[in-house]
Formats: sequence, C-alpha cells, structure tokens
Amino acid sequence: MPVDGMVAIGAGLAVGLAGIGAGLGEQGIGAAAVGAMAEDPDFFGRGLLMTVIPETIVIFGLVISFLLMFI
Amino acid sequence: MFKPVEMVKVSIVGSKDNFEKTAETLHRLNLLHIEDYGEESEYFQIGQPLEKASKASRFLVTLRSMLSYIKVDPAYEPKKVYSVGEIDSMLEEKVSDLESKITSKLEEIRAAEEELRRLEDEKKVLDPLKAIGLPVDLLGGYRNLQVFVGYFSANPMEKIMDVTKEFEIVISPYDKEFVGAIFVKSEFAQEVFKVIQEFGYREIAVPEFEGTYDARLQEIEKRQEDLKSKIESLRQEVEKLEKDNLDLMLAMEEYLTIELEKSELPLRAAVSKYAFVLAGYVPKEKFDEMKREIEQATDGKVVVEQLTDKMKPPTALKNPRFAKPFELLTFTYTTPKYHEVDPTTLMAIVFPLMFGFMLGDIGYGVVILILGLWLKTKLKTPGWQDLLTILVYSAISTIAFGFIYGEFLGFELFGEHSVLAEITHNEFFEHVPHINRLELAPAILVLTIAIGVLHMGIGYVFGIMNVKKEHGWKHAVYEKLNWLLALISIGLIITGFILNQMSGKFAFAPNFAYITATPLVIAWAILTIKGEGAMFLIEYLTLLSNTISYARLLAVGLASVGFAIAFNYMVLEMLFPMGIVGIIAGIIIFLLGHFINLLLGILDPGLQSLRLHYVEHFVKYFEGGGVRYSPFGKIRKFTKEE
Repeated sequence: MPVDGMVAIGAGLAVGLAGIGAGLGEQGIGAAAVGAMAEDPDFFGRGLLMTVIPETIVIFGLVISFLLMFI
Repeated sequence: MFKPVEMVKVSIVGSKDNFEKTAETLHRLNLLHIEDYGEESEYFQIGQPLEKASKASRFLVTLRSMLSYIKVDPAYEPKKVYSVGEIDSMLEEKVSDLESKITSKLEEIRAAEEELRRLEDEKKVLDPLKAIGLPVDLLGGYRNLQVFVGYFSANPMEKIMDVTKEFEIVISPYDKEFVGAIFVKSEFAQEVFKVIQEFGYREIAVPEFEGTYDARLQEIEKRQEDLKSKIESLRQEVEKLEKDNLDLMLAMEEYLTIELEKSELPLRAAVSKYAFVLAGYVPKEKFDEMKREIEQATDGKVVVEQLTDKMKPPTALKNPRFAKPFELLTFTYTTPKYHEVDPTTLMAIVFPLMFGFMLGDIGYGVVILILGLWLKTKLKTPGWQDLLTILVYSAISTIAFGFIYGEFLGFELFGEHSVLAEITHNEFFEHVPHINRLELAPAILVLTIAIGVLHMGIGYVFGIMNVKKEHGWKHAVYEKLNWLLALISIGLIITGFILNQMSGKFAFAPNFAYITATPLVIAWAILTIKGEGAMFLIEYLTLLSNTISYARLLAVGLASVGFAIAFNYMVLEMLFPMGIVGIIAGIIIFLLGHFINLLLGILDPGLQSLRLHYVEHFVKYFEGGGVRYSPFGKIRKFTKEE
C-alpha cells in the first residue's frame, strides 16, 4: 500500500500528540494515586485503574493513524 | 469456579466454664470466621480475656523484641518442630534464660552505641575549638569569670565595649563564620550574653580532657575503633545465640501467639453471667465436622447451631488449582462480595492469552520462562510465588503465540523472508503457516476489537447475573442488559464500517450490520432512559472508547516487534559489515537492545493486560468490597500438637 509522505507525518502526529495529551492527563492522576497508595496500600488496584484512564486517548491516536496509513 | 465457597452462619452457645475448651477446639479447626459482637445489652457484654492472656503477652513482648534483632526469612523452614507439650513445660525457664543471656548483651550494645554517639559529638567540636587557639583547660573552670565559647556571625568586640571594658576576646574566622571565646566578669555576663546573641552566638559545649586537641582527637578515634569492634563482636554473639536457638524461639513465639489468640477470644464473644455466645460463618461442607468436634470436646455442653439469617458472609474464593495464583490480582483490585461472580478463573485464562498475544515471540518467551522458573526457586514468599506462576503461564502463552507469528527475537522464522530457510536452505520453512503481524496489522486490529466486544460482553453477562442475584431481574435488565445491547450494537456498527471500507463504499452506506444495530440502539436507549436517566446516554461513548481500547493488544505487540527489528537491523546490516570492531559493538548492542526490549516486554504486556481486565472488563460487573474469609485459628509451622 503506498503511503504518501504527508500521510505518514499525519499518522505520526496523531500518535505522538495523543501520547503527549495522555501523559499530561496521567501526571496529575498518577501523583494523586501514589499519594493515596502511600496512605493505604489497598488502593493500588483502584489507583492503577484511575491512572490509566487517559491512556485510551493514545489508542484513539493509534487507530486514526492506522486508518490514515492503511485505508 | 466463578462462585465463592458456600458459607453458613452458625451460633455457638455454652456455659462459660466450657469456653476455654471451645476456644481450643475452634483454634485447632481453623474454620470459624467470627463476627465480632458489637452492641452490649443488659444481659450480654463483650467478654474479658482469660487469665493466662497477660502472662502470654508479657512473654511475647520479650520474645518478639529479641526476634526483631535478627531478620528471619519468611520462607524459613524449621529444622526441629517442637510439640506443644514440650514448649509448655520449658517456656518460662527458656524465655528467662534467653532473656538474661541476650538482653544483657543487647544492653551492652546500646551503651556502646551511646558512647559512640557522644564521642562523635565531641569530635565535631574539637576542630572549631582548635581554631580558637587556646588550650582546652583555659576555656572553663573559673570562679569569677564567665566564658562564652561558640560560633559568631561577626566579631562582637565593639558592641561588648559598650557594656564593659573588662573582658578578653579571642576570635578567629572559621568556615564562613567566626569561632571564639569571650572571657568576662561574672557580673557583666548577662548583659554580654544579650549582646552576643545579636551576633548569632551558638554555644559550643567544651569537653573535659587534658592535653592537646590533636592528642584528644587521636584518642577518640582509637576509642571509636575499639567500640565499633566491640559492638560488632557482641552483635555476632547475639546473632549466634539466636541462630542456635532460632527454631525454639520461633516455636515459642508461635505457641504464645496462639495462646494469646485463644485467651482473647472472649473479646469477640457475647458473654453473660454464666453463658457465652459466639457467632460467625463456616464453609457449609465443614459445618458438620465443626459441630461434631466441638460437641465432643465439651461433652455436648456447648451447642452449635446453624442460623438462617444471612447478613454478610465472608468471601473465600474457590478456584481450580491452576487459577489460584490469579486470586492475587483479584484481591489487588478488591475482595469480591459473597454473592458476586468471582472473576479469577476467567482471568487466569484470558490474562496469559492477552500477554502472549501482545508479546508473541519464541525467544522472549523462552527467556521469560527460564527467568520465571529460576526466580521461583529463589523468592519463596507466597506473593512472589503467585506472581511468578502468572509470569510462567504468560511465558508459555508467549511462546505459543511466537509460533503463530513466526517470530524469534524479532527475526522472521517462517514465510518469504524466513531466516530459518536462509540458514538451512530448506524451502519448507517458507511455507509454514503463520501470521505476519506487520503485514496483517489492519486485520489484527479488527480482531482485537472483536476480542474486546467478547471480553466485555462476558463482563456484562456476569453483571446481569450479579444484579439479578442482588436486586432481581428488573434491575438486571435496566442496568446491565441495556449495556450488553449497546455493546453488541457497537460491534455491529464497527463491522458495518469495516465492510463498507473493504468494498470501497461510502463509510455510512446502509448495510446489514448497520440495519441489525438500529433496533439494538433503540432498545438500549429506551431501557437506559427508563432505568438510569437520559444523562446516561452519553456513556455510549465511554463504551465505544472501551471497545477501541482493546486495540492496545495490537499496538503493544507492534511496538515490541518494531524495537526488535530495529536492533537486529542495526546490528546485522549496519555494524557487522564494519569488521571486527563492528562485530563487537554489534554484539553489545544486540544484547543490550534485546535486554531492554525484554524488560519492556515483561512490564508492558503485563500492565496492559491487567489494565484491560481492571478498567474495561471488571467495571462491567465487579463491585467488590467484600470481607475476606479469615478463620479463627492458625496453621502451625514451628510447633505441632501431640
């Protein structure tokens, strides 16, 4: 499948920018979750759950990049 | 599987003089999860600990303080297991014997450490005192003079002149500050003190000794050496003493802990003037055994009865052997409620599959397998054992998927560019069926979405079962079934989208998938508005993002293949042709690169797989917040009953 240069750049931006966004989202939650875990180690499961919620954004970026590159 | 151990609520009632025997039996059986008696009434109060409690706890404190001195490996296996009778007969004598031997040594150690600290403090002031330049015996011991020795931020001489002329000052710069001694007549001492406080005066406690500072310094250092070696040898003596008696000490500790638990049982019971009542839960199949044992031990004077009211039974998970280690992951999330579906067994199957699906490489799989098996012989604590078993399962699944993908450390084993075919000149390997992840990525992407719909669908089915059990069918339909419909409709819509893309039609051109999805969406919307309110319609998007989230199954895998291929390319195509230096550098980069990729390959698929369970799957049905079944009793390790 031929991929134009601009499409490749677009796909890269989709993943990269989404990654930055997810990172920014996770930093605050992660810090709070670690704080909560320090108070109560039982919080680990829920802390992990909360922390990874913004991660889905990267997957969105990834799916978009796939749509760009392959379809 | 899926359901926890069935519990029955029991009451144990008897006269108080049989309490001790009951406690003995209950502790030995290790079956009853006691529900603490909370409210006190006119007739029933919380009981008082038995008499032997205070003695046991006193001995226990002594023993534990001695044991805290050495680190005992939690997986330590005793060489000699003492019988309860043996311990009971020699307990008092042995504890006081050990105490007298060990405690006196510990006290010596403490005293030596104290002296070490004092000498260290003294050492710190010797250098500044030396900078003043006066012998130490001139710095104190006067009858009519007050001496201020210490640090100053600036020279206070002129300000002191305002107070009195009758003083002497010796001062010299020292480490950005000044250090000095001021000699002043006692009657002016107070006023001078006020002045020098303005100059940031901090006192130095002048030590008492004779001779020069250097000589004293040497003396201190020698003494410190002596003390350190003394402490070291004392420590070794204590450690040797304790190591020699370790089995005995641990046995006594266990014995006393158990005695204390038994004698504190009344604190959890309801006790009247003559009788006691204990309430709690027992696994249903063990009820008869417990009833028989207790009634035998007390000649039928204590009555064990099954109660019909079920308040909040504790959860004891019941899973097949292979799934047991995954209970760790379930409990990390939360303890399932008694009536809830236990997700452990399903997770035990799906988790390794997802791990393998992501990593999928024979080479990495074998390395992780060996690593896991090796660590299992080293780290003996139960938590580590569980975790490593999970890792071993995941490694096996990784190898299996490695064959499906035909990958070995990023090299293609099968197919057109087969490395095996190149080495062996055997065309067979080019025709081995396999799935090339990089070429078939779009198809795998669709597959991951399908896995997601299936995985979450199972979650909603469990959800329906949970809600039905707790609140009835109506709630199950309004809360869970509607979302199951929504999930299926999402699956259909994505299918329709893909079908249109493949046949080159407009993305939203009607096809059978869209048409089938429409009534489902309508049914979902009606149920949701009726059951939860219109606000919850927005959750459709959450569910959509949950579904797409399963694309990470592909993404993580591709990242790991990409890394491996990049390292292999660097080494084989760029460095090896450069000659001997290139080959050496290549080997280093190859090992380092794959090591890093392997670390990521353990962490990332593990975490992502866990996340798909915790965030996408569990929230569909798993509320948790249950009480973990913890029976009254203890499994003996260092002692045995006759």
